[in-house]
Amino acid sequence: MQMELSYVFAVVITGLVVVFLGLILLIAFISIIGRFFSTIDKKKKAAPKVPEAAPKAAAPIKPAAAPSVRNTDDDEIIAVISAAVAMMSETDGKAYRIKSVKAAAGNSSSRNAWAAAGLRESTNPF
Amino acid sequence: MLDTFFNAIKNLAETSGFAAIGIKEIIMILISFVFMYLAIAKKFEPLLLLPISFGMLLTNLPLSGLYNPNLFIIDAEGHIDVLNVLKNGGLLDLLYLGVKLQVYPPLIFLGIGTMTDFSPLIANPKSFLLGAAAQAGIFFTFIGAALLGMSPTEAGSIAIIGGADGPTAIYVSSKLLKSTDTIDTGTIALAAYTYMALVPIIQPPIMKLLTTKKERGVVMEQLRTVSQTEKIIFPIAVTIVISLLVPSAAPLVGMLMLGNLLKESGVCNRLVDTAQNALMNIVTIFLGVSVGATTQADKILNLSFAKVIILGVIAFGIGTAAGVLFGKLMYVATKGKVNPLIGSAGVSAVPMAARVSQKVGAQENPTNFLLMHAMGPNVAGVIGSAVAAGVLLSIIK
Repeated sequence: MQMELSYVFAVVITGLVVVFLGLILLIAFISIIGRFFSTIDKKKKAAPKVPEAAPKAAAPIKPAAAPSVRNTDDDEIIAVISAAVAMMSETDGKAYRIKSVKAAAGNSSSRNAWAAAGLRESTNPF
Repeated sequence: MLDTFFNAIKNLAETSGFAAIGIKEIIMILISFVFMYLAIAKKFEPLLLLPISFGMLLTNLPLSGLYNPNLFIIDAEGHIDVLNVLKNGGLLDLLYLGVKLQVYPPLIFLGIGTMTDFSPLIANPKSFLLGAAAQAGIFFTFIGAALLGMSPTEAGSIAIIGGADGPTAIYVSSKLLKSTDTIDTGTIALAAYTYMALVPIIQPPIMKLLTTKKERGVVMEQLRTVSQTEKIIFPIAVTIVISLLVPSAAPLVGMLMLGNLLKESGVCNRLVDTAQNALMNIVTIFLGVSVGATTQADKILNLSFAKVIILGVIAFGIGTAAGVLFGKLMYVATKGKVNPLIGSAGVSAVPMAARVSQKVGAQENPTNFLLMHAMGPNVAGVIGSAVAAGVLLSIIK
C-alpha cells in the first residue's frame, strides 16, 4: 500500500512538532521548579547569617581550599611532593632527585589535578 | 515383528523435523547462530540478543509448534483472539501475548526507571531540546520508508528504530504491524538491538564529521546539584505533562516515571529491588525469546528485511546527526558554552550514547568530562522517543 506524499509529510511535521512541544513544556515546567527551589535554598542559606556568630567558627576553614594557598605556602607543597617522592624511592629502591616543580602548562580544565585524576579513574571503564 | 519395527522407525523419521526442514529454515537457523555469536563473543546487547537469537532458533525448527503466527491474526476490530491463543497456543505463543498486548515493554521501562538518574536533566533542562532533536531520525526515516513503498504501519515500525530504544521499538511495532505486513516485531527488534550495540561504531564518524576541533574541545560548566524534592517532583510532572499531551505515550512514560519515583522517594527499596532485578530479568527473558520466535523464515528472507536493515542504520545516522547539529545550534546560541558532542546522546541508547560523547570529547581533550552533561540529553532521549512513539501510534492507522 503506497502512501500519499502529503500524508507522509503530515506525519513527519506533526511528529516533530509534538515531540518538541512536549519537551519544551517540560523544560518550562522544570526550569520553574528549579528556580523555585534555588530561591528557597538561598533563603535557607541566608537565614542562619542573622542569628549571631555561630557560622563564624566554620569560616576560617574556607580559605584553605582557595588557590591562594599555592602562592603563600609553596614550600609546604614542595615538602609534600618531596615526601611522596621519598616514599617512592623507599619502595622501589632507586634514588630520586627533585630538580624543579612547575605548574602543568596547558591545563584548560578548572579542575585541580586530584579531582581530574579521580574523575579519570571513575570514568575510565566507559 | 521386524516389520513393525521398521514401520515404526519409518514413521518416526517421517514425522521428525529432519523430514520437514527446508532450505529456508536452515538459513534461518544459521542466521540465529550468527546472532548468538554476536551476543556471546562480541557482547552485542547479550541480555536481549541471546534470548532473541535462541527464540529464532526454536521457531525455525519445523513442527516444534512453539510459535504459531496464524493464532495472532488481527480481526476487523484490530484485536487478536486471545482465547484461541490460550486454547491452541504453544509455549512461545503464550509468552508472545505479553508482547502483542503490550505488557512487557512498559514493565521493562519500569525497571529502567528505577535505574535512571534524571538529575543531569533536571540540572540542565535545556538538554530536553537535544533529546527532541535526535528524534528527527525517526521521522525522516518514515519518509525514506514511504519512498520505498512500504505501508504506513511498516514505515512507522521501521522509523521507530531511530529512537534507539528497544522496548519502545517493540511496543510500537507490535501495536502497529498487521498480519498483512511483510515484516514482524522480531525483525524490528533484531535490527534495533543490533544497531544499539553498534552505537560506538556508527556515531563517532558522524559526530566528528559535523563538528570542528574547537567545538569538540569545549569544556562545559559543572552541573548544579539537584535537591531530592526536585528529583521526586520530576517523575510526577513528566507523567502528567506527557500523558496529557500524548495519551498513547502514557503506558511507557508512566511506567518509566513510576520506577523513577520509587527510586527517588527512597521509601520503596524493596519494590525498587524487584523492579530492577527480578521483574526486569523475567520480563527480559520472556520478551527476548518470544520476540525472537516471530522471526520465522518467510518473515525474514524477503526484501523487506533488507529494507529494515538499511533504513534502520539510516534512522540511527540521521538521529545522531540531528542531535549534533542541534548541539551546534546551542553552541552558537550560548556563545560556546555547550559542547555539540553531547547532542548525539539524544538518541536514547542509555548509557552507551553518552559514553560515546564522553569518549569522542576525551579524544580532543583528555581532561574534559562530558559524561554527566551527555546523560542529560541521553535520558531526555528516552522520554523523547516515548513521545515520538505515542505520536506514531496515534496518527498511523
